[in-house]
Amino acid sequence: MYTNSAIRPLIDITKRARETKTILFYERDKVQEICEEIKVLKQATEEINDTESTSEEVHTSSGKLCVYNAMKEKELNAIQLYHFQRIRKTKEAACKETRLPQNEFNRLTNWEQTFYNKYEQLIDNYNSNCPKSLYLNDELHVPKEPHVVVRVMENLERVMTKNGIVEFLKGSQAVVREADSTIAKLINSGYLKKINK
Amino acid sequence: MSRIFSLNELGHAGSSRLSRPTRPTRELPDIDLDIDDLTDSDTEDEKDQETQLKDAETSNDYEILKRSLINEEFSPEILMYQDKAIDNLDKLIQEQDAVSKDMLVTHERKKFGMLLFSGTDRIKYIMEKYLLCRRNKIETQVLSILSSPIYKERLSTAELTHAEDYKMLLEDYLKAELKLPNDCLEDSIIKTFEKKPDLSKTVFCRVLKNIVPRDAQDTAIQHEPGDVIMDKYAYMRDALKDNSVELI
Repeated sequence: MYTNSAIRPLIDITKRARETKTILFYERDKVQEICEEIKVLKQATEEINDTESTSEEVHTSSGKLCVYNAMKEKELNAIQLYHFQRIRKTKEAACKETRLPQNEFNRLTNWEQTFYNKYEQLIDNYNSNCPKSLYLNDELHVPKEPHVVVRVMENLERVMTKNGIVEFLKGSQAVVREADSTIAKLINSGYLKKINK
Repeated sequence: MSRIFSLNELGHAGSSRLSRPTRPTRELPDIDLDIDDLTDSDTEDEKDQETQLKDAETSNDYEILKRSLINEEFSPEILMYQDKAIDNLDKLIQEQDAVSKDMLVTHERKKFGMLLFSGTDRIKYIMEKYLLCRRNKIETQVLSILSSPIYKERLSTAELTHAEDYKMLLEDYLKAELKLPNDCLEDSIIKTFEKKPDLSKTVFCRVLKNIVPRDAQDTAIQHEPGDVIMDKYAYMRDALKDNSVELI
């Protein structure tokens, strides 16, 4: 039985993943080892429950059942923590304005990539059902001034803002309204960069 | 070569030429003045009262939403969705944006336009924060919210749809990714994602109306408005619903 020798590395990886900003590779081998052991423990538990035994054997088998259940619970907890952490990271990436870079996207499993795409769609659907004047983004900050000075990082032709159609030239500076959803998207995507005074 | 765009240029970017009025524009009054009406001051009073009522309702909606945001952030469970306040404030934002856009065109009224913009931004921030706070709570407690009819009633239509879709997405992902027996998956992994609201969490409340302390034997002893009390959320739940207390 692996138990601690399999759980400990997975928990350490979960802790490390919590501290890093990027998504790490999926630990398929470790997760599969633990899943196999859970199946073995489940089978052993069923066998114990099925066999009729004497009162002495009942006492021993109840002890075994306790141990097996405790081991199974620990392993399920470890798996749950690891996947919960990965789901959280995938959700954070899906909520951002810019798409995940290809090298990070490749670190996700096929099912995680599906989760990422479907979650992005879910968020778009939710935002489309909210008031149109709002721009829902996880990186909200308290508005201090109505206008901000930005540096234009890429040429942008004919951007439709609430003040009318604006053209941004690369390398120039502009005074824009950050609360405008189009401008907020451009800032989050990296086309415009806020200049701190 | 860098260039700083001024606000006037941004505002006039779509038009072919700049329009600079030489004298301030005056708005025509809405009412048709007749010689008899000039002596009648009731119409003006009614209009003032109507404007004051409208202003009072608007500031009420803003205060209600601000208070709901604070309650939502500190409460362990999902609270009632403030659809009326959100709709009214959305209409206000649209009207105010249109007015402030016009004001920016005139040099004399530009500062008032900027003030209106600041006000609109603050209202938008509160609305966005409120909706995001609720969305995060729904996703964290999705299984327990969808299994309780009381919590389901507190969601808006958009939130309910989002919760149901998210739950399906989560279950499909876990079933596909984890090659575990079904009962382990249902009873353990998926159940552990079911975060129930912790009603025994301690919260701080400010009293708004007189309430009798929970363990007081004498009903004459009451918490008065302005008092700050600390208790478990489960005991403050009913008082919060009645607006007798607010979370701080």
